[in-house]
Amino acid sequence: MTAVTTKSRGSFLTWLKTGSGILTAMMAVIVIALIPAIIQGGLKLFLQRVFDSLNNGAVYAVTAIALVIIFKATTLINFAGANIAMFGAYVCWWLNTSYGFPIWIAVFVAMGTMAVLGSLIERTLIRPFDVNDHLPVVLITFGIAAILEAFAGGFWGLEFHKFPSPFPSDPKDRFTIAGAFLRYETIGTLFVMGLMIFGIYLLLNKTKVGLAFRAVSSNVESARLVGVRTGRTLQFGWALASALGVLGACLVAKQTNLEPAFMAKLVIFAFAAATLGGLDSIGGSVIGAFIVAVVQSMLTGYGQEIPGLGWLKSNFALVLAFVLILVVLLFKPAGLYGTRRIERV
Amino acid sequence: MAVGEGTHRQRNQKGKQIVSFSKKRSVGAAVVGLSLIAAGCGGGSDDGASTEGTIDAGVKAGVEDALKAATTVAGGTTTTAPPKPTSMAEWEALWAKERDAVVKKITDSKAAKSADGKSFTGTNGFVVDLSKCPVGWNDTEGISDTEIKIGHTTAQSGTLADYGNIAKVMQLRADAINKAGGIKDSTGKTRTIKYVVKDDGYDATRTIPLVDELLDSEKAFAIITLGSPSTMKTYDKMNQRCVPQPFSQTGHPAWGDPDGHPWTTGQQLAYNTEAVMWGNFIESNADKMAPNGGQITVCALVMNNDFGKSYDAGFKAYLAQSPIKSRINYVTETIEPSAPTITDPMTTLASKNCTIFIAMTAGTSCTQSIQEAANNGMNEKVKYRFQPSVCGAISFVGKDKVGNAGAEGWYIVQGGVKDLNSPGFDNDVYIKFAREELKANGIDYKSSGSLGSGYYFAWAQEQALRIAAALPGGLTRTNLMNAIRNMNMTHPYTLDGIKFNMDGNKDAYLVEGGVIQTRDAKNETWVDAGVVVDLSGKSKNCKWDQSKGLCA
Amino acid sequence: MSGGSSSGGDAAIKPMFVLQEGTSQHRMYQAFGWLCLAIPMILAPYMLPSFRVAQLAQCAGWGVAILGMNIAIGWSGLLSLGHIAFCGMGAYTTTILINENSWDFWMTLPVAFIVCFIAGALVGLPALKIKGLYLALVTFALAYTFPILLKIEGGGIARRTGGDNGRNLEEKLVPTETIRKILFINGEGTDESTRIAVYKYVVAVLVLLVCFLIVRNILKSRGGRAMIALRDNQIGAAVSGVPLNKTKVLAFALSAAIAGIGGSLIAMVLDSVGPTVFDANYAIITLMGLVLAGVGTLHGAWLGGVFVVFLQDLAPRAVGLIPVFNVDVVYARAIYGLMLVLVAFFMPGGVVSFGRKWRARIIQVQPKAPDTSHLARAGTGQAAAATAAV
Repeated sequence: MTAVTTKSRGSFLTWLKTGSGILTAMMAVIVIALIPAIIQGGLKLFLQRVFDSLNNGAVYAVTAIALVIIFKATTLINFAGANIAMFGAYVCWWLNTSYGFPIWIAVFVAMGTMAVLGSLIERTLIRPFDVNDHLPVVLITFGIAAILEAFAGGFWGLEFHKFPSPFPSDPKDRFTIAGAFLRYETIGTLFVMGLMIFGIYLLLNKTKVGLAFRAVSSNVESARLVGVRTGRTLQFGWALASALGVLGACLVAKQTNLEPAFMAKLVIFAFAAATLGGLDSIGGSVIGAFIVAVVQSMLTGYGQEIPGLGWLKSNFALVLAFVLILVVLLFKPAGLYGTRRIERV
Repeated sequence: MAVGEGTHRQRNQKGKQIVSFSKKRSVGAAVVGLSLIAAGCGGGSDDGASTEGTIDAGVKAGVEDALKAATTVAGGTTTTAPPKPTSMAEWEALWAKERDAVVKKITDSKAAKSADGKSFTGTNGFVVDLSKCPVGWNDTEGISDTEIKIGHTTAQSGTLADYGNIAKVMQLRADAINKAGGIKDSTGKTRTIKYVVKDDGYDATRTIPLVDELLDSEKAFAIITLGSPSTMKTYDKMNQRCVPQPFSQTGHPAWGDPDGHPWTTGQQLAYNTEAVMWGNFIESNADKMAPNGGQITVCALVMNNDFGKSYDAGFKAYLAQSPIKSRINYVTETIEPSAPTITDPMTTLASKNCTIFIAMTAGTSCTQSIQEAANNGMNEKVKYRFQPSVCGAISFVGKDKVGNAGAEGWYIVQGGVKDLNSPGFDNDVYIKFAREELKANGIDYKSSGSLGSGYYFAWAQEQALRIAAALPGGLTRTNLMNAIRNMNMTHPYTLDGIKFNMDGNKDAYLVEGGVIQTRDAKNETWVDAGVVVDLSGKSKNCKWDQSKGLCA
Repeated sequence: MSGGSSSGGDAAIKPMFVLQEGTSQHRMYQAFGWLCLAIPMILAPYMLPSFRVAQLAQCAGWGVAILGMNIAIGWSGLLSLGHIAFCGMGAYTTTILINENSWDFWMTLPVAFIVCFIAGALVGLPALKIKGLYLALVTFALAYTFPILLKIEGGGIARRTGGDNGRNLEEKLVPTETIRKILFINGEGTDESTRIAVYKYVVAVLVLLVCFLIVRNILKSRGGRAMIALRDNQIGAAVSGVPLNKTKVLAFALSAAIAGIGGSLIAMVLDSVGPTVFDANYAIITLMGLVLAGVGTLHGAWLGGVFVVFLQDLAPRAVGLIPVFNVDVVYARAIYGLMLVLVAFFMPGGVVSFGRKWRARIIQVQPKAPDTSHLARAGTGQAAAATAAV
């Protein structure tokens, strides 16, 4: 595939086929279609939707990054990721409410606990398998998900619990911009996401273990040949992903409330985000996360105002995300910013 | 092994690329697009049709009568409640008296099977054609001289497994009843209650074989099902097999069909009745909400399942015949039950200048709607915010769930039911009794909102069995159904003034009343904001038409 | 590969018997194998209580669905987690035709097949480009969205599908007098529910058998071999002249169509359909059934449905039997989670391959000399499955 060539050819169509091109085109279509509704709805509503998308996008991004890290390391999709994160959020809630840990300490302890669990899972349940044989590993991750769900329900009951917000969460804790509310929680979530991306960047690019991780994710065999301890690196990848997943769960749990299935409900959006952006691209998945969030807020919010589209209510968010993935994958099978690891004959 | 190597080999080789994809791409995309558009186009025409006919004139008239009566007799309730029992012994005495009355009513009506055993003529028009029952059907199957075997399918696993606590309480009550001597029969026998509980994970696919098992292998006397989908998918069979399906644990209107489905009854306030009560609240307060004939915007958050749609359809039907329908602007947002957050739809609704907000949701979404309304400014802007009756329990609206200021100021049409967990009922005799009984069995009454529902259901089951057993001929399936369909008692777990009764084929719903209340978050309780409206006997029977999704 | 070849790693263990393919002993052995399968299947409806028979009929329905999934996952290497949606399409097609148009059950099967074939081809088109785990993700998303699509109010969809409550079949399968006589269920000892259960069971098993034979023959055909070649080595297949795109789309469409027939059967057995039967949860459960029975093995079809139905039925009961502290039924889910993990570890080829491995220690079938026929391992189902493992 040599679709992306030098800019000197300057063909508009060529540019349109790149990730940015498709992205721009998609956004342009969406924005143009929605302009009348946006104008009608007014600035306040538009800003409110932007803030909502930012909050959702940040949460999806954190969860999607957890998926991407495991995919980069092992070319696997971790179907257990959601429930590892869910379990971590329960641990956090439990430490906070039953033992009085300050919320952030509880979050870090939970992240640590689940990182250990993640690396244990990698070592004992995933490593014995050939990564290129997808099915057994898909099964195992589904199995782990079911076990964790059962245990969370068994330990902490099936009724939902309120999750203590890690940020100031009183209804009045917000800025009012042109009538729209920008909640401190949204800012906090975005800030944590930014911090996390920066941290991952440093970890992968400035540390030895990061170098090893990048080596492994680009080619396991070569990495092994040059002396990288691939097993440990993969374990590190799982630990990191599990911890990040827990962080994502703790950021969103105040909105979803804590119940054994809460992350399984959310992760489908993270899947959409990661697939859209490219399963092996951290940056791509962050962009994908915000696209999914924007589509969710804007298309379902404004779409139903367009005459004839009154049926386009919020329950279509998932369907829209799904259609979006399909359309993108038809043009770019590896996602918008993914490496073309998926080859064709 | 075959799978390991064969199924998914890594294909590293890069081959030639197929060039002509563009055609197929566009075909695929076009199809997806078309189907969505097709779905959209049909919307308008279908919506109108599906709402007609659901409105229940009797219910509406009932609400009006009740309110009229309340305004004339200032503050007085519409029903003359008997003096409230102050101890469990007094309760027991009251129930015994009420049971005797029911037994007398049925005995006086000379309810009996025909001589050839082909039909059963019950009280007040309740007739069962027994000739259609399967060959070998037996009126006393499932009961021995010492035991009554009742099957129960419930959710003990899966995401809705909390409902499994209902079965826990039923079992615990049965143990207590058995210990105290069981159910005495008019034929002189004394029987104990035995529940055979099966876990269906709230998955109707699993309920069907479990009900088969309870019917064919366990030979249960009666089977109680949980949830609308599970009940809906088994009630045809239960009625063909002539096996009682009493006290179904769902609020769907379809269970009030004594002609088509004589063996099935519900026990909860039907969802569409509740919708009528909302509608009436709006009508009677219209001038307060929008003075001088102004427009009223009703915003509803509808859960996209049977439950939310029943509310939605019931409310639309009410509006269609409302005298002030021109003043009402009904706006809905729909959410999937599997939606993780509801921020987006709540933002949409917040932008609509709502006069009233109604959450037609269940479970976590109720709590989320309260949290979101507090955050997005709806609390200040919208004075009348309603929670559905199923979310009245403290496990949904308590401060430890909602956070911050709690659900202060929210309204609810209480489905006539008390709340085991709420401190507002600390002095209630029956609630105290229930809490103590749970404690004695090592269960924390605050651990689940379903425990209270357990008492609500178990009590009715016990009383129905006692009445049926006291009838001439003793406990039989037909006697049980006739007993339930003529029950008229004071349920200790319903609010004062709500009748717990059926009347043959004339009244096919047990609970048809409610009261509009508001939340007092400081004391964690609901306080009356209106009169208790009891519509007993006013709802029409409902022959459910599954293709239209409404009562025929 | 344990398939049919015992000359692999286990060479040290000599089988007790060696049979030459095509000899009379071999044919007797084959007949014995089929009898071992057939006798319990024929006796089961007369020995078991009727609710178990109904469950077995449901097993046959899921078995057909799993057979369909196997075409995509096992033989074509397209890891699809969304076949439950095709199952659902088949089930709803049957239900709607019966309820709205008063069709008989058997007439709806070809329609369900065609509808799902077309739907499968449409989803299969993107599957040409999306591969491996991307395909798994996209199809899993399909499994997630299908129940939502069923509830669309517009276009008369929800009216026909019954929305969230689903629909009950208005016309139930009831055996006629002749059929009762043929099936020996007109006696005094059997009640109506048993008769219906037995009849449903027989219909479901017959459909399963037909599907089984169709798939077996397809696998042995040119197209089937192209499919397997494509799974094992795309380049090699392309070089040998296999039309890749056509094969992939057809394989996906066919697998969807068979899964749809499975769905029709499930609707018939349950007398009802609903969105919860065809959701992501069941996508995982059917995948589990497929893997437990054996991916890429034809005979997995007999067993797969059994796992789907009975694991869910028995897991909560098993939890109740655990004597150590008062274990809650909540943990039932952990049992099948554990099951998935254990299978991946100890029986990666599922029960069928596991059994075949042990059988190879007792009986070995030596294939005919290759020049006699171009169908190298024609004959029994076992042999056909062995082809799959080539």
